[in-house]
Amino acid sequence: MASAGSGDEKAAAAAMITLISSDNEKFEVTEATATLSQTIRHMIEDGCTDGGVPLPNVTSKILARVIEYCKKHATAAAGEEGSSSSFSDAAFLEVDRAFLEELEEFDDAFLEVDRATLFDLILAANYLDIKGLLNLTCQKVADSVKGKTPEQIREMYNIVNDLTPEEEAEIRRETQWAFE
Amino acid sequence: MAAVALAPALMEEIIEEILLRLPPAEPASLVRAALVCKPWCRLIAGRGFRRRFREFHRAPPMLGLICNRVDENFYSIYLARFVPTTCSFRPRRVNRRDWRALDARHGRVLLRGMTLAHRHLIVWDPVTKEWIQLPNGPELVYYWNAAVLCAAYRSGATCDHLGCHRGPFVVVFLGTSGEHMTLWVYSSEAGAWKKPTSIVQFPKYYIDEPPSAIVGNALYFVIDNSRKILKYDLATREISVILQPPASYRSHRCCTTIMTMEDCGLGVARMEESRLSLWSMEANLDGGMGWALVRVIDVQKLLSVTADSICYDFLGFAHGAGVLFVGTCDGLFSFDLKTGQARKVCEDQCHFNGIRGVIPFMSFHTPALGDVSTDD
Repeated sequence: MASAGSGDEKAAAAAMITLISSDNEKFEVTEATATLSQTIRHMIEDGCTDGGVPLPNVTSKILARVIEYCKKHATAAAGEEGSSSSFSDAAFLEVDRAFLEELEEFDDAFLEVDRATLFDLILAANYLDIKGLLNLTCQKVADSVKGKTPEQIREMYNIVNDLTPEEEAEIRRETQWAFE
Repeated sequence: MAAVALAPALMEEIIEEILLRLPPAEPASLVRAALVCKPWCRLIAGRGFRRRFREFHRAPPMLGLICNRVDENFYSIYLARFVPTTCSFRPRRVNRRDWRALDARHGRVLLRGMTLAHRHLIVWDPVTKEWIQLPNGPELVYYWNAAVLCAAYRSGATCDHLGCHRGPFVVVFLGTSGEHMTLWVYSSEAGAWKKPTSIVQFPKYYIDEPPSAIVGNALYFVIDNSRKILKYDLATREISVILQPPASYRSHRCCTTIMTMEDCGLGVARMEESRLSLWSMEANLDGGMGWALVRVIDVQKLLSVTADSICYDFLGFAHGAGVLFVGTCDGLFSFDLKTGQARKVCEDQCHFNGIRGVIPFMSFHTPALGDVSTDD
């Protein structure tokens, strides 16, 4: 039973899916890579991927980055499955840890982008429903907000302050400790 | 690089995803973000966001310590003072003169008035500033201790204790009077004390000061000068007494506190001279339960202090965070059992004229921001 199951998985992993960006560029990816996106996973399950999957909300520039992320993390997911089924010795765990460290380094390097790209990645991760990527990118923005004053945050993200001076004064009065 | 417009580009659900990831241990971040603009303010102050923030982070951060100390100005020998540890949060009133903090759990602090005129019990929420005085209940007792907890423990309801600090609570008061120990229980739902339970099956033990602990569905108090522990099962109302781990009792320089271990079992931390030993209640080979010594720490070496400077009045413990607090003449130190890191959290001296006990305050600080938040 188990071997038949893994055989099926191998066949599925080898299947290719075509993703089409908003500017009509085509990307061939494995199903294992594509199904990190819950949105695409559902489309595959519903059998509506013949002739490619159009992604009108994602540009080719961003889609290329998203695929880069999914490829790396799909390999990681496959590795985890392998380790839980057959390997348990220390040597393998060592390899596992090295791989996790490499993945972390990959994520750090992946986030080295300008703010506009970061937001486009968040929007794409949200649209494609890729939990890991959404978490990674949102955490990056949260880290940039943390410790900043309201003025600094507004300036960083070009946000207009529409609070009335009275509202602002009231909040500051209630939470004075947060501004000292 | 030109600034990128965040507000129009990212819809509210994404702003929420970002703000959910602000660190709970730095509550000022959330307050400052609320002052960016109206949509952010409404979002952060909304009930839904506050609930999701707690669910996302699960473990409430330590916002500070309530230190029971002697007032430096000698207006009173009892002063409960809120001392921030890592974050900037502090309640509007930091000092509570003539009060002693007994316990803190699920965002509530239990205090008792220490003057002849005021012996009330108070349940205080330092975040919302709520200050509830309980009606008179427990009679005159020689030795006593008390605990505050979420009402779900007694009713058998399930609660993740992430947002229950605005819900019903229970106060359990244990006292020893002339003849025996007595247990009083107050329920906020009833707004009254229940009929007290006389604990006639046990001798009238001395009741020690360390805050109680909840392990599983039972409440534990240190009794009999750190020799025993009283267990009160919150569901069955059964009371039992268990022996503490063996001690040498050769020295008066000794103190004990109850811990919740990482595996959620019962633990005891004991400091004798400068030796800190950690014990865990574990299953024996014969199927019974017994104390196992899990760790011994040399406090002198750990904190780089002399044996004489260590304070034996108290040993604090932050349940859930796994952090111990040790007092010295050079200040108050925290010791993280997981990371092994020790650091000074307060410069104040810990001795008969300074800090005499600490109650860690763990809670989420998700601000409700007055009129701007109209969602509730």
